[in-house]
Amino acid sequence: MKYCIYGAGAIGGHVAARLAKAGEEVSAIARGPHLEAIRQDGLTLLVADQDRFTVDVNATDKPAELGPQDVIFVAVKGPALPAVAEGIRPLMKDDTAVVFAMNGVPWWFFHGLPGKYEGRRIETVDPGGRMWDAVGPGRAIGCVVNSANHVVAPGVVRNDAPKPNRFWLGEPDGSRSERVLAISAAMEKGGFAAPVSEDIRKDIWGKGLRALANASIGSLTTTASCHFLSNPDIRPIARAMMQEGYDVGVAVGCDCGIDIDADIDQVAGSPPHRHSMLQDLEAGRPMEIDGIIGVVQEMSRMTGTPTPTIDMVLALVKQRARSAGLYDG
Amino acid sequence: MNIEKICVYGAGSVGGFLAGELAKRGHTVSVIARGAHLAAIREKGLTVKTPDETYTVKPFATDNPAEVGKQDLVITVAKAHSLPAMAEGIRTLLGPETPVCFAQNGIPWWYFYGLEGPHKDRKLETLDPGGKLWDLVGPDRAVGTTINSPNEVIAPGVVHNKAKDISTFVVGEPKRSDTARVEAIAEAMRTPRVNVEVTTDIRTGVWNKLLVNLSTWAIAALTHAPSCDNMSNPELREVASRMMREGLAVARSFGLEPECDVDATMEKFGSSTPHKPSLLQDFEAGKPVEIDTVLKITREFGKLNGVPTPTMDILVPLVEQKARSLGLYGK
Repeated sequence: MKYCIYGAGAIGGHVAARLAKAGEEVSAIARGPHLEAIRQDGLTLLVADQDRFTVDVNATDKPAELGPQDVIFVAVKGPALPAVAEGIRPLMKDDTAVVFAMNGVPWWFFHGLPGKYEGRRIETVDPGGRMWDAVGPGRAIGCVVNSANHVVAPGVVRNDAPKPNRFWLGEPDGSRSERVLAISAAMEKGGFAAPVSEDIRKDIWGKGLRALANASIGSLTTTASCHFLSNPDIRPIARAMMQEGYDVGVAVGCDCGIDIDADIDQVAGSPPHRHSMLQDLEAGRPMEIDGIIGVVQEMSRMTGTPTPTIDMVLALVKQRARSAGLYDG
Repeated sequence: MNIEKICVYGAGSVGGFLAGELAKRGHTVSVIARGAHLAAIREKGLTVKTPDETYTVKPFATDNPAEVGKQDLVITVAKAHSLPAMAEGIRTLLGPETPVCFAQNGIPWWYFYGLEGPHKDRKLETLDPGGKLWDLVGPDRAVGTTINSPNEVIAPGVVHNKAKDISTFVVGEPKRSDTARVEAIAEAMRTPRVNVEVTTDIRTGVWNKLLVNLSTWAIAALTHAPSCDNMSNPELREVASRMMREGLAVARSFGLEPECDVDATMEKFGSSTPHKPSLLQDFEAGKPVEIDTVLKITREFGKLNGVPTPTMDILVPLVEQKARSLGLYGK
């Protein structure tokens, strides 16, 4: 099958390298010095400090050069998604599947979700419904990434730890379709754990709740998650945000079923990690505020679910990002 | 009470200006300062620039209070978190009757001294850890002092007073109803550029200013935006208003009725020129931040009196965590 990785950065570059190594035909969309390096020297993956290999992938910043694909992996940051809506059309044929390996709640979330919000578009993550119109929710496959990677030099991606490297995949309707099974098999062959989820929305929401608290509090306090979650004055703030977010999920028809206290305990007991949103703030990159926090607020308004803690913290985070010139919403 | 020998302990921006004014008036002034600022004062004197003149005075300057000797009046102008470490030094400056004006923002360490009610004479661990100030200086020497005087150290030894008109200090007794001592202090401190008012209710004066700082400081420290931007944002204006109302409820739980017009305060900040509160300036400059006397203590007072402070319970721990992570908050 022909795979195109749209956004071959940390996560996308890792996926591109392993799929290519597994023998799939892989192309990649990248930019700047990273693109130049991939073109010249190939794409190199370092796996922790144990392994390294380089693959040749057809890389470009002009999607139209690549032609129609069987599978597109979109692995960009939320703020870049509207630009993907512009670029993705020439990559698609009738049966192209598009996997969204992104943080936060995806634009297709209400596609095929039984209940009163079925088919609803989400303005915060898909302004003007551009993805909905360009891609169409029928092509979308959900993905929850559990893998830590960095672009350590142009053309070189480092996989920080060889475990878990798990990519949950799932059809919006939960079916074990031929296409999702094929993608899962290819990724497993490349060395990932790529289980097919029966309810990918639950996985998305569970991970999203964790991000909701850790991204926002991390950005406001410039602190690693385990440290502030061990602070007895901060933990209740994180807990309140997660509970409010959980309740919003239930109200839209997605009861993610996680144990909030156990989840906090787990992060509090893990090694220091600065959430990617804090890393973006410190590196001066656009922050994924809308996809991680704003979208939950949009759904709270949609359903009439009160989110007082999220509202206050979101207002502070947005203003922090505006001061740094990293958010214009 | 005859006041001639005055020591200004902490002769930075405000302290430097005040020391300059007092020396110019003819008092025998000593200053305690540090580093390059101290070296410059020793070598070239202390220069004060005001909108209408620049003058230089030569006070005795040192970083060792033991060299100064007994004083008629000590005025500390320092961030509250550095006061406990100054307790021993202040002690060496004290004669039998020497009063000490603690000029600062927010709640002072002696707050409950002589205050009728359930907390009378309670020591505040947050502001005076181990009770060093209480034990070594003693609350009966303390004189409450609030400042309204914009100054900046623009070069070592040079202080710029930016007041359009006269600067105002307010002094008041923590306990005594007799104002003779504070009248004498006010008389000794007055100059053509320094107005000193005597109040019989210094605690209300402290709260008046504290509530305004409470509304803007925490938000600015978290957003890094000037207060005019924060208060022009409807959601943050609401957060600021809640902070101020919670602070007012805490003040009222002590039987005080500070001046507090929430909407007028928000309007004033919303339409002001861009200014970053000193707390944010300290964060951005990587200096130790003063969060105990305004943010932390108000929340603690709420807990003490059973007043709910749900907004402070979110913002204050966030600011404290940030300060700790950046290494700007020692405890």
